[in-house]
Amino acid sequence: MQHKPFFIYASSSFAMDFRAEVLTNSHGSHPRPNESLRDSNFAVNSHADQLERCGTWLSSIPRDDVSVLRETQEYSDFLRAFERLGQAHRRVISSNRNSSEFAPSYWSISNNFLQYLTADDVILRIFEFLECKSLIRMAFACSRFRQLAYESATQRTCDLMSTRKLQNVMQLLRAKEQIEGVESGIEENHVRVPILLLSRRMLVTDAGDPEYNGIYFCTGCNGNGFVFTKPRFPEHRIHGGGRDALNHQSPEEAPLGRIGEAQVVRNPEGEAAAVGFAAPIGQGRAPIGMGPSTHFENEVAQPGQLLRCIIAKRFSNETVLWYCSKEVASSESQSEAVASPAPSERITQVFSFWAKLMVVGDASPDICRYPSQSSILARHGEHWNSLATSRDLRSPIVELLD
Amino acid sequence: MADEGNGIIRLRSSDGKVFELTESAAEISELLKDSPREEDDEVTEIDIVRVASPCLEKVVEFMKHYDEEKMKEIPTPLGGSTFNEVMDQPWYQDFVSDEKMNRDMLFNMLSAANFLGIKPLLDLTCLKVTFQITGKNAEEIRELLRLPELTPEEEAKAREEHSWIFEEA
Repeated sequence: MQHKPFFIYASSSFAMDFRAEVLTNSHGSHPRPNESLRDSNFAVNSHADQLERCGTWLSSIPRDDVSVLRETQEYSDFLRAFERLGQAHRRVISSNRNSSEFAPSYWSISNNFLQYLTADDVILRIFEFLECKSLIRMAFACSRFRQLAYESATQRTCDLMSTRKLQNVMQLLRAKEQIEGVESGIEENHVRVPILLLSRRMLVTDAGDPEYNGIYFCTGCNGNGFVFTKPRFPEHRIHGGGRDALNHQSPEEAPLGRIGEAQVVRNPEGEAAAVGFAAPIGQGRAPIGMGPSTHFENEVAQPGQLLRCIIAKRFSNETVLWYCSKEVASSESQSEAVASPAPSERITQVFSFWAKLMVVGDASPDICRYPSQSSILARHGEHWNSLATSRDLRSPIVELLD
Repeated sequence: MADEGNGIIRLRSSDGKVFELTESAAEISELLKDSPREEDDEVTEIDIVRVASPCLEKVVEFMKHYDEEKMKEIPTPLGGSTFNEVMDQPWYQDFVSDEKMNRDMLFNMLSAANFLGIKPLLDLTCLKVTFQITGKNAEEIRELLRLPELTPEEEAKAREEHSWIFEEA
C-alpha cells in the first residue's frame, strides 16, 4: 500500500481567499499598524513576478512529466511564491480595511467572530437566512456587518428590483414626464411607470379552511384591481425545477379575459391554462380571466417558494366578485390545455370563497379598493360565501387592519 | 488502481492526528475532490494544515454520515421559525446541538467547511448561527460574536436609516 502525502494547496478561488486570510489569523499576525500599504503592494508585486516566472517555466513542461515536476526546485519555488503571494494579498486587504473602514478597536478585540469568518461569502450565507428585522440588527453590530447586510439585501431583492423599480433616476424622471404628458408622442421613448401598492393589510379569520386565516398584503395587481396574498403554511412550497422553472406571475395578476368557467394551471413557462371549475353557490358562473400578463413577467418563483392564498377580483358572468383561492402544486399529468413539452409542476388555483363588492356609500372609494369587509357587507345582510366545491367550509371573516 | 470511490483518504490535522474516510465520502468536499492523487494509490494522505484535530474529527464525522444520509437542501426563505423546524433530520439536528458543539467549535466548523468547500456543512453551521443571532439586538449580537462596536456616527446613521421598521435596535 503506497502512502504519498500531499499538502492541500488552494485549488479554487474561495480556498485561495481563505488560505490567504487564515494564514494571517493562524499565525496571529494581524496587520501591523506601522506596516504601510505601499510595502504590502510591493510585496504583492514581487511575489507575483516570481509566481509568474515560475508559472511560465512550469507551463512549458510536458504534462506527462508531472510526477518528475514535483521534485524540481522550480515547483517548490512556485508553491512558496504562491504562499507568499497569499500572505501579501491578505496584508493589502487588511491594510485597506484598517486604514479606511474599521475602528482601531477592531484589532484590539481578540478571538472575535470575524477571525473565524474572514470570507464575506460565509457571512453573506448566514445573512441570507435572516429575516429583514434580524438583518437590520446585524447591520447595527459592526461596520463590516453593516456593509454586508446591505449587500445581502441587494442580492436577495435583485429579481424584485429589476421588475418593480426603475433602474435610475433618469428613468423615473421620464416616468414623471409621461404622467404629466411631456413628450408623449408615439415616437417618444417611454418607460414603465412604477406604482406603490396599497399599504393596509387584510385580516382573514374564522375560515373553515384554516390555511386562509392570517394577514394578507397587497402584493400585486391585475386588470381587475389589486391582489392580496399570503403564503400558505410553510410546508407548501414549490418543489423542483430550475431557477427559471416557474413564472411568478399568478393567474389573478393576469389582465381581464374571458375564457369561461375555469380553474387555473401554471406551467413552467408561466402560461395560464383553463380546466374545469365548479360553480359558486348562488352564482351561475365561476371566476374567469386568464391570459398572458404584462405585470411583473420577469419575476421568477424559486423552487422552495411558498405557495399562496390569494384574494383577488374576478368576473362571474357579467359580475365582478372578490374570490379567495389558494395555489396547489400538483404532480398530475398535464391538462391538454397546457401546451408545453417541458416537464412541469402544475400549480392549480383552488377557489373556496367569494363575496360581492362593497358599495361606494357604505365605504369610501379608497376602502372599496380593498377586499370586501365582512362588517360592511353585513349592513346589507351580505357576507363571504362558500363555493360549491367548498360548501362544507365555514366562510371567513375579512376585515381591514391598520 | 483503486476502484472509483473505494480508495481511502487520510486527512492529517494541523496537530498531526490522522482521520480516515472513503473517497466517496470525501467527494462532498470540493477541495478534497480536486486534490492531486496518484492513480495507483489505494490510500492518499492529505495534510489539512489549517484545521485542528477536534474540528477535523467532527468534519470527517459529518462527511461519513452525509455519505449515508444526504442532508436536505435548506430553502430560503426558511420554512420554519426554529432550527429544528427548518432542519428536520434528527442526526443533523443533533450534530450541531448546543450539547454537542460549543460556540467556538461551531465557528471553527464554519471556517473548516468553507476551507474544505463542504457546502452542506457550511449551510448547516450557517443555519445554526442564524438561529443563535435571530431575535437578538445589536448589543447582544456584538457580545455573542465578540464584534467591535459601530462608531457613534455610524450608529446614528444606521438608526436614522432604519427608524421605519423598529426602534429598539
